[in-house]
Amino acid sequence: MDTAPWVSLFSGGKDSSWALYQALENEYPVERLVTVHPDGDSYMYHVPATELAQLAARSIDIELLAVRPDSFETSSVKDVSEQGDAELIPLERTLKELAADIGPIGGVTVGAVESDFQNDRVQAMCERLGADVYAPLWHEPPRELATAMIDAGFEITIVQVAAYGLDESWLGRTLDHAAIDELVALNEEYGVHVLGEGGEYETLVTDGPHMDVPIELDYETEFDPSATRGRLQITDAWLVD
Amino acid sequence: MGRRKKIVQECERLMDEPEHIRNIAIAAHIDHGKTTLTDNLLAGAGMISEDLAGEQLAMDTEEDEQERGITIDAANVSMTHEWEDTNHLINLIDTPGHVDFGGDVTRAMRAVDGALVVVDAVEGTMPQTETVVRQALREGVKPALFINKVDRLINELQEGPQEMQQRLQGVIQDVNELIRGMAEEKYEEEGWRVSVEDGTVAFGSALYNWAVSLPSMQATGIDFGDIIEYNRSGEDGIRELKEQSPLSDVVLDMVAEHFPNPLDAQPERIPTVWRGDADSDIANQMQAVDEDGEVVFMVTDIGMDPHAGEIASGRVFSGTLERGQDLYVSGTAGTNRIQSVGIFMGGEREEVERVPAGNIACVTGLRDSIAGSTVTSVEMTPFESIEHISEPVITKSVEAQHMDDLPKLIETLRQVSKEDPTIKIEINEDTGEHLISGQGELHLEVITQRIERNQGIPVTTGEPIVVFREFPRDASDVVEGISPNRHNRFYISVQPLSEELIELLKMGDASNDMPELERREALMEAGMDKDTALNVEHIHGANILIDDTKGIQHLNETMELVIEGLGEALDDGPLAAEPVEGALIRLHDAKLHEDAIHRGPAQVIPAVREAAHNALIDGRIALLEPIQNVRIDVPNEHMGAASGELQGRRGRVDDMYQEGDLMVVEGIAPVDEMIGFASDIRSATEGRASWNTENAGFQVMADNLQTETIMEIRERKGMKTELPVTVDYF
Ligand SMILES: Nc1nc2c(ncn2[C@@H]2O[C@H](COP(=O)(O)OP(=O)(O)OP(=O)(O)O)[C@@H](O)[C@H]2O)c(=O)[nH]1
Ligand SMILES: [Mg+2]
Repeated sequence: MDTAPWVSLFSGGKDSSWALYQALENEYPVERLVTVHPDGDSYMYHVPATELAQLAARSIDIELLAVRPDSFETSSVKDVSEQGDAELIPLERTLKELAADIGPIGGVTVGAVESDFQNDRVQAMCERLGADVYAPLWHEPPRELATAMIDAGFEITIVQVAAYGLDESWLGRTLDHAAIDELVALNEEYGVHVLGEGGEYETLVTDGPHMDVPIELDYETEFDPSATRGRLQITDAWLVD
Repeated sequence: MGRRKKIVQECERLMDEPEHIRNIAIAAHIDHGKTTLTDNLLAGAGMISEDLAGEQLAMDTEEDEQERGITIDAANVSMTHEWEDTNHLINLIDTPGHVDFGGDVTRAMRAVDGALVVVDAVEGTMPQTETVVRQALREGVKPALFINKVDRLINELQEGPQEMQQRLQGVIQDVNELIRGMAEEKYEEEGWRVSVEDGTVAFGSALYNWAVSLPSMQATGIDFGDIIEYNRSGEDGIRELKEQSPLSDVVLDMVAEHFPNPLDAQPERIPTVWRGDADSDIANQMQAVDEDGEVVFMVTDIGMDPHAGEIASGRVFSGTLERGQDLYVSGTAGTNRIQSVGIFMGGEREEVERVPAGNIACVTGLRDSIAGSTVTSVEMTPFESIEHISEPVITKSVEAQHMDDLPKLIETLRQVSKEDPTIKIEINEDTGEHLISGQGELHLEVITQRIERNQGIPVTTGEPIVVFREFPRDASDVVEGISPNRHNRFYISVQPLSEELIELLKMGDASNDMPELERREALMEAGMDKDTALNVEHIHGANILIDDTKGIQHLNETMELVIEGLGEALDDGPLAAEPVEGALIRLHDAKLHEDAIHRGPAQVIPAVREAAHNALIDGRIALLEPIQNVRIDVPNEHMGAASGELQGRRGRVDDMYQEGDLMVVEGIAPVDEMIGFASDIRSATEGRASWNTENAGFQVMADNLQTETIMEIRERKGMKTELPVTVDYF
């Protein structure tokens, strides 16, 4: 295998963590985690708890690079596709700078499962950068993926919900086998994606085989039934030692 | 050969001669004498014994009908009658007069071509007279008039020939005014005006079994003076009159002469009740009453026979019904096999080999059919649904007293709603507390009593509560609905629909399954502007979705979800989760995520639902409650008490006038307040008042009662007793 350095698009959520974990298991030389912190809503990246990515990176023991784009603001951008592109620009710039620093990037890990929107754009960017893409979740059956994560020892906490059928009780809940069963039922009833690929929910991986120590959280929940949307208000987070 | 067998054979022979068939219904205000008339027509035609007829109301076969002295279920009967030396087969449906059972009248009108309207000579035309005439004319059924209880004018009111004729003329005039008001063209041009001269009016006494019409008077030489004479000379006189001018001959002659036979009627009726392709083979077969054509059978009544099980009766419009046929039932998949075919002989079912087009038949084996199904040998456009004039307005909960009865109760409730589409049943298997909604207190009482008696299931029932609706009173601003994941946005406004459009939708005269062009025309005729009518996307109950967007990518494939979200918003309105009606919802714009996975049902449904609710609230949505027209007939000295009863119930008195020696008080009142009216008015007037109520649609409840009522409903439903803060207008 080429030893050019790899980077992992990493939010701290289960899908990007799983992609990273699979890459490490397969001995990809991942040297950087890259997180995009959007200001407003993101179309491609996970809004809540991305600050926590830094904590996760410390536990994983790989340096994290935070991209803080100041140029885009969701609400002012009208078109969804434009939005996606706007988010990509700072990321691509960052990766180019990184290449200048540590040498040409061999590849990028990405946690996309079914979102063509996300996948297409990352593919195109990587082509421009001459980098490979590693997307181990791509088009894998959601239920099996979720089960594999739990069985591998991932401790997954739901930090945001945004879908019909997901009420306040889901906030702060651990994604375990029972939760998967319920999601499968919700999938049948309302088309809720079992892995939340349509933005139905967001997660934070607080422990896993790739982490040295778990993350602990203090939080409150906030839920707005009229918007069918809620999130954890994390008041404190730390690594257990 | 037995007498009955002979008559059956004669009926079977006549079934094949559509020109000698008449299908008719008898319809009237309550107690005006329909069943007495039916009995005596049957007796006169030799179908039942004379002893059974008349006072015993042989056609009110159910125990509860006998007890209550009213007809509850429409009854089918057939008889033969010789007119102008030719035998005729007369299929007749006796309908109930009580307003709560009006659904039976509506359905009967689909099966027949003529309506014999009966009016009590003393009472004159009454509220239900108007309703049944309307029901007949809506279906394109031709009216004729029988003025009944003329004996009372002579014996009770002691009227002379002059007064009597004047009074009868008055009744005829009133009935004609109704007909003209509802079907002016037919009245003016097609001879639907009833008149003595044309022979479309007869008078008499169903109870004492005599009648006269102009043709009969000319034939017998009996005039009004003679009639009075006979009536005043005791039993012998009456017997003489009955022999000279028997009820059944006079009335059945009129039926045979003036009601159209199926060959004349079906070409006119098919286009009014069927919206399929008018040039198709099947349309031609129906118009031609073609007994060799495809089978087209419209089920208008479902009954239970303790031995044979479920019996579906109705009109054969084309083809011939026979045992063993596999027929399609509209609205269900697959076919049902006919187990037996029959006709109604007298009042009893008689199995026959076959029933051809133009007749009223009864069959067993159609287990998927409900009252209103179209049953056919090839799949085809079903008949127009038979919409009853009034929706259910009152609800009662029923629970089985014993756990063991639970499944049987559910089965019985399902059966009830198959038999009577004017009932709405909500089955709740979780709580076991089921809801029955119907036309009135009596309607619900009869149903629950039948469940207990006929099925032997002891039940506990709740207090009756009225049915509410939610209605936006104003036009709203455009409201944004954002999907939970924030990737999709919908821009929606609402405005109230006009009364005319609401009515159109409620009667099913503009519906999703109509051809688009035809629907558009119907909507525009009811006052919708053309641009709006062009953009109609969906109809949900008495609400319309207009899609005013242009060329939005992915919207087409998302529309189904938009409709689903809207449906949820409208079924459970924002105030008290009661159904919304009269909303015109406009979709102005939408922003959709390009990736299908981000705009699935879990995103689109809540976004649209929320937007619709917010728009409805911005349109100052309010509760509607059902109201009733009330008419009270009362002696002068109790008039104050009677009108007081009405006014004390948030009612309004619209008119008070003298009629004969009684005062008539007319007005409206909310159904909710009318619960328990019967006993109150009785005590207020020492039992001297008689009254009629008739559901008259829904009306916005007064603002000062809104919040309280909404909270009551929310509490009953286990909802939060708190309104959205935006509801700040009550
Ligand atoms: N005096 C008199 N009474 C009559 C006559 N016809 C019917 N009645 C009486 O009027 C009452 C009602 O008669 P029904 O035949 O049950 O009336 P209906 O129209 O079938 O009543 P519903 O089906 O309940 O609407 C009974 O007491 C009859 O005996 C009549 O010609 N003269
Ligand atoms: Mg009757």
